[in-house]
Amino acid sequence: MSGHPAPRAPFRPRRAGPRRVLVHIALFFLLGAISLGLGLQGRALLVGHAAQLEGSLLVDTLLEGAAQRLRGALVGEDSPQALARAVDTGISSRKRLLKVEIARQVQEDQPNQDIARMALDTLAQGVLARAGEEDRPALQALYEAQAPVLATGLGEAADQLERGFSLARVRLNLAVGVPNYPLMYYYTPLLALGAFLLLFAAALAYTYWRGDEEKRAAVGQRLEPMDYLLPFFMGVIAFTLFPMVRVVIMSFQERYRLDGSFAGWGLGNYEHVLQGVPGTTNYFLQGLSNTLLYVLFTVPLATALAIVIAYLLNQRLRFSALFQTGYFLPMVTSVTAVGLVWRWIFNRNFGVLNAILGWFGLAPVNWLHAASNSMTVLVIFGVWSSLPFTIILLLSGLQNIDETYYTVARVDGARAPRIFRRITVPLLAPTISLVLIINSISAFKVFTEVKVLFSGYAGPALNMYTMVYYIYDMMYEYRELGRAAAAAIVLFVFILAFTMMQRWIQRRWQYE
Amino acid sequence: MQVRMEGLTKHFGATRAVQDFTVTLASGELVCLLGPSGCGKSTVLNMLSGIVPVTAGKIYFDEEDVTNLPPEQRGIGLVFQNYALYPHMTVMGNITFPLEIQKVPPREREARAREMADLVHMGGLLARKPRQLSGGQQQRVAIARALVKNPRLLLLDEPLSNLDARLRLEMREEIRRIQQETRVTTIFVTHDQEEAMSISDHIVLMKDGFLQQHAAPQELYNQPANQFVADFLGNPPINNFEGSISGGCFVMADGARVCLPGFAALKEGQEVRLAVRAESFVLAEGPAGDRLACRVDSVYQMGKEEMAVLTFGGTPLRAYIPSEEGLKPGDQVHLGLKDRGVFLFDSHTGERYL
Repeated sequence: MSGHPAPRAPFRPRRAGPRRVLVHIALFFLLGAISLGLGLQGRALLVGHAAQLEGSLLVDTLLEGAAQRLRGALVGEDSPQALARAVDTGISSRKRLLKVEIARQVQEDQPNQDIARMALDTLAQGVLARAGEEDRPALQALYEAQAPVLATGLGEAADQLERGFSLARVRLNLAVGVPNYPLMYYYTPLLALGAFLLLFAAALAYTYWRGDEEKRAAVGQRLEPMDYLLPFFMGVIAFTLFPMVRVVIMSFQERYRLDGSFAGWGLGNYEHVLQGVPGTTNYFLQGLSNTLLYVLFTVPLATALAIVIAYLLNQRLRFSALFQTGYFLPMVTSVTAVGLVWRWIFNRNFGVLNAILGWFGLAPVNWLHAASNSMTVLVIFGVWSSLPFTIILLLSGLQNIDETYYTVARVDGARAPRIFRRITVPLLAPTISLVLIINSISAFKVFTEVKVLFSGYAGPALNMYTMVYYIYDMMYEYRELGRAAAAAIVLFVFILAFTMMQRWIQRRWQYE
Repeated sequence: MQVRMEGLTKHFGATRAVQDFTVTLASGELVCLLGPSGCGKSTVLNMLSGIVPVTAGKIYFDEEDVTNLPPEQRGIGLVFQNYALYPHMTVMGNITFPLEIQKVPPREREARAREMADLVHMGGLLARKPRQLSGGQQQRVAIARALVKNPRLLLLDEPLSNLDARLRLEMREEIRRIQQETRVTTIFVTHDQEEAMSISDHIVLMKDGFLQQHAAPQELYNQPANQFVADFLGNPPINNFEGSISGGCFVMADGARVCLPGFAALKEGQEVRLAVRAESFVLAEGPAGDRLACRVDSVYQMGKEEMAVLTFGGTPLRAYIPSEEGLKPGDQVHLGLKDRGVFLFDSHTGERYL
């Protein structure tokens, strides 16, 4: 034993090494297996549930169908009451036992035709047993004449039920209370996720066992950021990307229904949205022109006003906290609640606005119920509600401007208007452009304001459709999901084009 | 233009930034306002420019009382530490902006801007935006912008602090050159004593809002008015020794003593501080009354001289000693004192006796 301490291992910087890849392979494999397993289990449960559901539906159809058809065949409008009663009691006397028998035969997968005949026969026997002596021969003759037709009809009805029965339909009609509802309802994404993770694990495993040390380390390094991104990204995929893709697809599916069925692929939705129904108002085009007008009025007005207000708020004013609270109030209030307040402000007889106009000797204006004033009202409300956010952004932009610019300019003799025009505004340009884009996008999406101001209608004379209002209408009033999706895509194209145009223009007057 | 401040005072609430500041700055000079951070030098500058109103006192530009004149009527050029060039304007736009405000016709504006740009050697870069320029170039543009309207007074607020060491030296000389060429009265605020010493005609040294001394750089160094001035100037800092006067000699607590001719005039028992600059020591042979008996602690090579750290009377001191003396740590040596750079201050008031 020497007195020297053992030599320390040479220092190596910590680095995500190849072992990280192994951990990932194991992890992805495990998660993939779990997800796949859950998906498969969900599917099995759903299939079981569907079979059960189908069986009981089939039994019910056959039983009730047989009862109804038999009664229909034996009892007419003019039959005496006694006969009708005898038929009814006869049918119900056999029903309970018959149900068991039908269930047994359905289980055994007997042809529906045969089960139907058996059911009709059983019920008919019951009826004959209850019928009076004098009626019996006539009833028997009547039944025997009709039986083949009745049985065929009932068998076909049952066949049709079976044919129309799909797993997808069962899944979409699944009640939330059903045990294991999430597993059964979401088995497809679970299967997809599981398959994806397993494939990914397999791909990683391949790189790991085929690649050299260097390659493994590189893969490990590459994987690290994914650890942090993936959990969040899952949410983005599920709730943002997937719906986006789905909307695009849906816009080409004509007559798309919530149960997933649709009439066919095509441009019909777009055609309907853009052309409307011939001879009637095209509310989409109305919405388009209203939206464009709204954007063109609201955005510049709100931005200009916000610049002035932000500039004033940025001065060291007395009571500036009070002013700030006042201007930022719309931000913390709900559009719906405030919209109701604005309905009062705009009220023809009791409204504040008309009262103020009255001070100046102006006649009261029918703000809310005259179609010609609708846009004015909407723009006023829109400007008001978009002010606070705009002011906050601009105020922060103003506060980023160094005080010394103003000092130098003041010492050089510049007065406030020139400083504002030549220094403040140009230095604020990046913020202004940001504000313009954000405000335009949100103005393009105007909906709640209309809905609230005009008491749940698109304007007093259905004259205030906006693009989103149209989408809403298509979606919730007409249940035309495909058309709503097509309108949404058109809106998207407009916003995109508008924003690109704005950026292109602004690039010309920005200093950076 | 001569600048005269009389009893200038500025209070920010309870904070006394500048107190009873009286100084006259000669026309055409470059004067440094020097002092540690928070001494009130920038406040003086801001009062001169009119950005900050005075609490009391008067400011005269030549014979004109400008105390209550708004900034734009004082004829001042201002340059900031961060240059404050308008980022959205070109160099040309920045330099012409003050003229635009004065409604100078565009043609003349450009001509004068070019002239200024040439003066600061930025003639070739008029179309650039500030962010395309280096820090030094930006500062040149800021100076051109401040000078283009022919100000009576140029105020520079720590103009070199944002530059790296090399550029700082270069710009220091440039500012000096530009000032010499234009002969505009210039006030330069800095906390860097070396910068102030090298650039200015006169230095105004401040501390805690009070004027300490107003003198030419060499005079400030050689004849400090008080302890603070002596401490603030010089690198390495001046060596201080605490002690008292006893029998015409300076005696330290542990008995170490040194006797110089002037000490006899002082009161017996007076508590004083002996201050000696590092270059004012000479290595002497053997002990004597006017020599300091020291022990060598360490020695640093600095070219032809050595910086020695020694201990005298329990207090460490730094001294420049010629390399050929070959001092070694542990040596006992005797240091004589030169005439220049040896001062005696009052221990409490900092007042200078010798």
